[in-house]
Amino acid sequence: MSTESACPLTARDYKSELKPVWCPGCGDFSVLMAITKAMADVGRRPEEIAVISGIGCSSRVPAYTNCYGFHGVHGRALPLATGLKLSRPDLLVIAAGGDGDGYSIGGNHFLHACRRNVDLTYIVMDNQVYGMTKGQPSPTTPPEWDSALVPGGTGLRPFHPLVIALAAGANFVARSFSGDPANTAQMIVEAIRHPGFSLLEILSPCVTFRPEERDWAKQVHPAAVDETSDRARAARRVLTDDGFNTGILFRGDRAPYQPSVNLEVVSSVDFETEFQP
Amino acid sequence: MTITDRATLLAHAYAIESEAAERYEELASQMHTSNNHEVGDLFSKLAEIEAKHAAELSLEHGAANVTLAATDYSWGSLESPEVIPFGDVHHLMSPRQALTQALAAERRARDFYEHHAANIPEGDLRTLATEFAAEEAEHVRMVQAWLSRLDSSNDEEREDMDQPMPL
Amino acid sequence: MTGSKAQTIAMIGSGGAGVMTAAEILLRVAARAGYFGLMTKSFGPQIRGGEAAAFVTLSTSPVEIQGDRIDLLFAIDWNNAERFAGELNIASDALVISGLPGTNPPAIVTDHRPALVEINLKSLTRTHKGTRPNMVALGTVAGALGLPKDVVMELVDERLASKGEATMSQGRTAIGLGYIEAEGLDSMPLAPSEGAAPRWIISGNQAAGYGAMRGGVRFAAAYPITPATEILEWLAPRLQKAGGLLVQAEDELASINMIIGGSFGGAAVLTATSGPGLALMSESIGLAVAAEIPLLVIDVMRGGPSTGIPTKSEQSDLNIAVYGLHGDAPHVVTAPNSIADCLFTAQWSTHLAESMQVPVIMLSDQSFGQALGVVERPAELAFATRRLVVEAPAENYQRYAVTASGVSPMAIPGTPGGQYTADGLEHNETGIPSSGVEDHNRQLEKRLTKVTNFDYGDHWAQIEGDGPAAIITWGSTTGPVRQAMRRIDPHGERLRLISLRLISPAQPECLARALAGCERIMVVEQSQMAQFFGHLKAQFDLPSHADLYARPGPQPFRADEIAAKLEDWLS
Ligand SMILES: Cc1ncc(C[n+]2csc(CCOP(=O)(O)OP(=O)(O)O)c2C)c(N)n1
Ligand code: SF4
Repeated sequence: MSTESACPLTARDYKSELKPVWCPGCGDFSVLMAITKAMADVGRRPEEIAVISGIGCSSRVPAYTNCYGFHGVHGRALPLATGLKLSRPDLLVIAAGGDGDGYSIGGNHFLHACRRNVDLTYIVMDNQVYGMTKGQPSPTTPPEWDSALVPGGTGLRPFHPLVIALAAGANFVARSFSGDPANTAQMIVEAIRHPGFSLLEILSPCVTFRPEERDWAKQVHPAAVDETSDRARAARRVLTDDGFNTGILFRGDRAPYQPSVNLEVVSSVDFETEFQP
Repeated sequence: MTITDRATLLAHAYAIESEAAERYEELASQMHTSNNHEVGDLFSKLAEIEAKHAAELSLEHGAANVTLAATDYSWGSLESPEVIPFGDVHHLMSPRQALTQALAAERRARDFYEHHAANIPEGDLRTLATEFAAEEAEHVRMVQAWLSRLDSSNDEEREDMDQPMPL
Repeated sequence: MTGSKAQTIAMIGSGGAGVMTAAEILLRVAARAGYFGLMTKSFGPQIRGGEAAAFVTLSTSPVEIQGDRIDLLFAIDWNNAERFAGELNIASDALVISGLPGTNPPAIVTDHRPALVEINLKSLTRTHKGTRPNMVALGTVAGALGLPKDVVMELVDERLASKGEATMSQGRTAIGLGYIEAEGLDSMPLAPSEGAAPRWIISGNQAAGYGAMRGGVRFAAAYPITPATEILEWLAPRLQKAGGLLVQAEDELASINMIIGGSFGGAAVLTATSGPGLALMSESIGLAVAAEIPLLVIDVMRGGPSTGIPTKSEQSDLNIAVYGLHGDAPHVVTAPNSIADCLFTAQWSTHLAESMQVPVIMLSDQSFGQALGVVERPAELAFATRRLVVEAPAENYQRYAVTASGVSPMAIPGTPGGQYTADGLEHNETGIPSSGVEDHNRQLEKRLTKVTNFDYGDHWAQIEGDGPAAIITWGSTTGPVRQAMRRIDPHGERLRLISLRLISPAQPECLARALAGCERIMVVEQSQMAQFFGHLKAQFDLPSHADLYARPGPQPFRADEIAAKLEDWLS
C-alpha cells in the first residue's frame, strides 16, 4: 500500500482479500460494506484503525477489513478495545459484534463501556438470535420465538440496548438497518466523529435462523423526529417506539474518559527513595 | 425529488450501473464461497455487463467524473434501484431465481428513469432520461429472453438437506 | 552489650488501637538502626474496629519468616485475643505486657506461663494529655529491645509532621513514657546490629509492582481482590507518574482483556489478582497464548478454593496456573521465593513475557504480598527486554511466521503495511483463520518451541548447599525451609535446597543436574493435594523415592516445624 495521501482512499482500500464466510443473504455483508465506506469517508489510514470483536458470525468483521484487527473471545470485545484505546489514544478503535456477544455474555462490559465513555465506536449487528451456534435465543429475541434449545420461547422480556445504553451513559446512540448501507455508513461516520462511547445498533437479519427477518426491509422507517441531546427524552422515545425507528437518536456532550497521564516520563528508579527505611 | 440538471442525472446513472456491477461481483463471490458456482458465474457475467454499462456512460457522457455527496443521491428506496439487496439471495438459489432477481433490478432501474423523465420538462435533459429508460427497458427484455432460454429441468425447489453448520 | 540475635514481637489490640501503626514504626526504627526485619499482620473479619495483631521479627541477619515463637507480646487490650490462637505462639521465657490492668490474658497466652507485667496505659495517657496508648506501647517495646530512642523520636516526628507541632510533641512524650516503663522491665535487648548496608523496607506486593515497572510495564488493568490489591494501589499513582496508566476494570474478564488490548497496542502490561480472579481470566489467557500477546498476570495466592481464606497463604493455585488453560496452551509460570525476590521475579517475568510474546503467570502469595520486610537493597538488574517488532513490514508480512526461535516479529498498530487480525481461532502464518491439520500443527509447534527453547539461564531455580539430601520447594515455603536448614545444617553439608522459580515450562534436565549426587529427596509445599509434588512427578522425572511433606494453609510454615520434620527425615 502506498503511503501517499494525495489520492483519497476508497472503501475498497479498507477491505481485505479475505472472502466472508457468512450465509448469502446475511445482513452482515451490508454492514461490512457500510463500515468500509465509512472508513473511507472518515479518511484515517487503515493502519491507524483497529477493529476489535468477540465471537459470533458478526464478530468475523475485523479480518474482512484491511485494518489492524483483533478477533478475541466471546463477549470481550469492549474491554479489549478499551485497553487498546486507553493505551493508544492515537488509534481509531471500533468494536463490533453481535447481540449475544454484546448484550448477553458481554452485558456487563456493555454497561461499563457506556458508563466509562472511552472514545470508541461500538457497532452491534443485532439479528435477535445466536447465529453462529445455530439459532438460540439472544437477549433481544422476542419472548415467543421457538427454538430447539428453548422450546416455546424464553417468555422473557427482550433486552432494550438503546435505553440501557442511554441510562448507562453512552454519548451517542443510533439505530440503523443493514439493508440501508448508505445511511448506515453515514451513521458510522457520525458515531466515529462523535467523542466518547458511541453505540450504533444495526438491525441485521439472520436469514438462516430468522428468515422472517427479511421482512425488516419493509418495517424500518426513519425516525419521525430529530435527534436530541436530552437523554431522558431520547430514552422515553426509544422506549416507546416500535423498534424500527432508524437514525441518530441521541447525541450527548459528556467528556470522554481520557485519564490524565503525566507526560513527563520519569524513570521508575525514582521510586526507590520511598523504600528507604 | 426531481432531477433538474444534467450532472445530477449522470451521477445517478453512473451510480446505478457501478453499484450494480459491484453488487453482482460481491454476490458472485458469496455464491462461489457457498459452492453455488452456477449462480456465481451468472452473477459474474451480470457484473461484467453492468461494468460495461458504467464504462460506456463514462465514455459517452463523462459520467464517472460527476459525483455527488452521499446524501445527495435520491433513490426513493434504501439502495440504488439496480442492485439486488444483500438480503434477497440464498446460497441454494437457482439460476432462474437469480435471473428473476436480476429482472426485478432492471425493472426498478427502468422505472426510476421513466419516473424522472416524466417529471423533467421537455428538453435535452428529458431526452437523456428517456434514453436511459429505453436502455434499461432493453435490458429488461434481454434478461427476460435469458430467463426463457433457461433449462427448466433444473428448476425444482432447492432445499438444504443439511442442518446449518455451527462454527 | 550482648543480646539476642533475633526477637519476635507481637502487638495486639482492638478497635483502632493503632497496633499496626506502632508495629510499622518499630520495624522502621529497627531498619534505621541496622537490623533486618519482617512484619506480618492478622485481622479479625471486621473492616473497622476488629481485633488486630501485628507480628514483627527483628534480627541481626536477614529475616525471611516470622520467628517460631513470640518473645515479647504487648496487648493494648485482650478483646477477642483468643481469635489469634495458633498465631500467638508464646515462648516460655516470653515477656507479656498487658496494657489494661484488671483484664486477663486468654489461656492461649497464660498456658505458656510467660512473665506477665501490667502497664496502665489508660491512666498514663489520661495524665499526659494527647498521648496515645499505641505510642506508649511502641516506646515500651523499643526500650525493652534496646533500640535507640532518638531514632524512634525521629520517626514519630516524620509520621506526625503533617499534624502539627503539638501532636508531634505529644507523640514524643508518649514514646518517652514508654521508654521509662521499659526501664522497669527485664530487658531483652537485641544484639548490636552489624551496620547499615543500604536496606529497603518493602512488601512483596510493592516489590512485585516495582519489579514489573522496572521490567517496563506501563499499562495495567485490574479488579480489586485481597491480597493482590496493594500491588494495584501501589502501581496506580506511580504508573501515572511514569507516563503510564492503571484502569480499574468492571471485573476480571474485563481486566485481562483490557491488558490484552493494551499489549496488542504495544505496551508492556500487567494485571494482578488472586485465585478466583485467575479462574475468571483463564479463557482469555488462552486467547493471549493463541494470539501471542505478551502479558504479566500476577496471582497473589490465598487459601482456596472459592472465596476461601482471603488473608492467608496457600500454595494451591499451582494447578490452575500451570494446567488451567484450555487446549494445548504453552505459557510460562514463575514464582518468587522471598519478598525481595518478588521484585526480581516480576521484572524477569515481564522480560520473559515480552521476549517470548507469551502470557506469564507469576504465583506470589499472601505471605509475601502483605508482609513488610527489611531487606538488602536489591541489585539493579537489566534484562535486555525487547519485544520483537517489525517497523517496516515487507509486502507479504506474516505476523505468525514460523521462525527458529518460534518468536515472530509483531506489527504494532499504526505501522503501515503490517495490518493483521490477531485471532484466537487457529490461523496460518499470515494470521488468517485455518482449521487445517498442517497449520494447526505448525502453529502449535511454534508456540511450544518458543517457550521450551528459550534460555532461562540460572534463574529457573535457586540452589543452596550441596549435601546429599535435597529439599525441593517453591514460593513462600522456601523461607522456612531455608531457615530450618541453617539451623540443622549450618554449613550446608547434609542438605541441599532447590527452590524452583520457573514452575512451567518444566526444566527436567536442570533439575536432574541440580539433583546430581543426591541420595534422598524431600518435597515441601503448602497444599493439601500436593500440587507441586504432582507437577514434579509428571513433568520433571522426580525420582520415585522422593518424599513429601505437604499440608494446607492457613497456618504459615515456621522454621521449627520444618526443622523437626527434616531432623526426623534425616535420622
Ligand atoms: C465462552 C463461550 N461460550 C460460548 C461460545 C459459543 N458461541 C459462539 S458465538 C455465540 C453466540 C453468537 O451470537 P451473536 O453474538 O448474537 O452473534 P451472531 O452469530 O448472531 O452474529 C456463542 C454462544 C463461545 N465461543 N465462547
Ligand atoms: S447464520 Fe445468520 S448471522 Fe450467521 S452468517 Fe448466516 S445469516 Fe448471518
